[in-house]
Amino acid sequence: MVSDDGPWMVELRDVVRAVSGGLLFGVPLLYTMEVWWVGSHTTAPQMAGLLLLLIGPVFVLNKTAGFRADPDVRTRDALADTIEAVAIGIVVASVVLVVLREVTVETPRRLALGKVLYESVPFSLGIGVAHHFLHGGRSGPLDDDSPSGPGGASDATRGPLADVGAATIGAAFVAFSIAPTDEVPMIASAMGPAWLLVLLGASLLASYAIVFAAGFSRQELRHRQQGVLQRPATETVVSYLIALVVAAALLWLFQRGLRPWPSLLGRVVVLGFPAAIGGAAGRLAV
Amino acid sequence: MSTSRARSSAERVTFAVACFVLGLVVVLILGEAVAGSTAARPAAEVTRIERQPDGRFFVAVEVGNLGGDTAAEVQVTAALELGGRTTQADQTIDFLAGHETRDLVFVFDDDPEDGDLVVAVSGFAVP
Repeated sequence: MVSDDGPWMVELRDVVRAVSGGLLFGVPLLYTMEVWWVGSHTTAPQMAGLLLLLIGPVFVLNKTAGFRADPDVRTRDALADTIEAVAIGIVVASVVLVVLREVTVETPRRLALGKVLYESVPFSLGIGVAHHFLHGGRSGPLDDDSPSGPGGASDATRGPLADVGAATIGAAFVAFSIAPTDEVPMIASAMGPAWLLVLLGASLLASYAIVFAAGFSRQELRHRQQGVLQRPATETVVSYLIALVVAAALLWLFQRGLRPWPSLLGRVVVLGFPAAIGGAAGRLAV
Repeated sequence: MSTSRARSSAERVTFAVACFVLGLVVVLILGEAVAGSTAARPAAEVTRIERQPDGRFFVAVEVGNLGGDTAAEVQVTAALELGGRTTQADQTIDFLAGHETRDLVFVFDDDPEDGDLVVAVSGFAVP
């Protein structure tokens, strides 16, 4: 596929795709306190070993899949992309851990390093398969001939319904296994209103990037889709609201304490982050 | 015939930034290796005592690991001896990384200032 975009835009899209793939793969492990604890008592040789062990499978993934629109043919390119994938995984894991208040300025350096390195493993693996994640799908070539294809007569009504359903199922699929855990109230208790707003913004940004900026599932067609909810900004906000409703419903289902109200709000926003990412993946899958 | 493509300037910039990030991580790991580690040494100290509206007393305690290694299941005991009677309370911290601090609060019915309050780490596990 030849892109009309300049090299900087192509590169930006590749990096956004990498970040999105990492988020899709890595977020569930972020809500696992045992991983934080393992990171807290990791020695320097173990950290070095983890980094070296990670490079092997990420290289294989970059040689066969990768995060770039143009696949790597040369070993040299795959090696360069492996370094980039691991680095992006480390940066994204660090940013998310900071947003979730699991790494703060008061966190000892070794503890922060251990947490980031362990959490970066699924992120880097996700980046390694980012381009093959949910490739094709609803807007893919097979759908173009169908009556409900993009721009088709019934697309204006069926598209939004399909998106709402997919966002709900995707959010529930990812958040279901996280909702009953102690990590949600634990993270929420450490977040003040300002950090909750930061997490809210990060959830919206991640959701938008995965669906509309990462180049999954022929995003140009998604941008052109017709319907009441199908503008990128509208779809992103509505899908996030769905993710919050799903998060609240799951917290209620697992009796994780819906009261008091301020506490519930924090828990819903915290669980809403993986739910929003699941919802974005769900919308790509239909 | 080669199907390879040349890396663009944008890709080279990404690669340079990635090398910097990985290099920084490697330097930090080497720094940890050179610094070595010291055995876990958790300790507790009272930071303040507050009287609550309901008459109870909250004793804020800071538990810090003065060593480099992680301490697990850190048992913190607070004992208040007053008028020949001892009231004791325990709390456990799952993990306390090297140089990490955690805040705890113990609750007593009597004013700790009137008696003998001893707060100490009574034990921990090496993970």
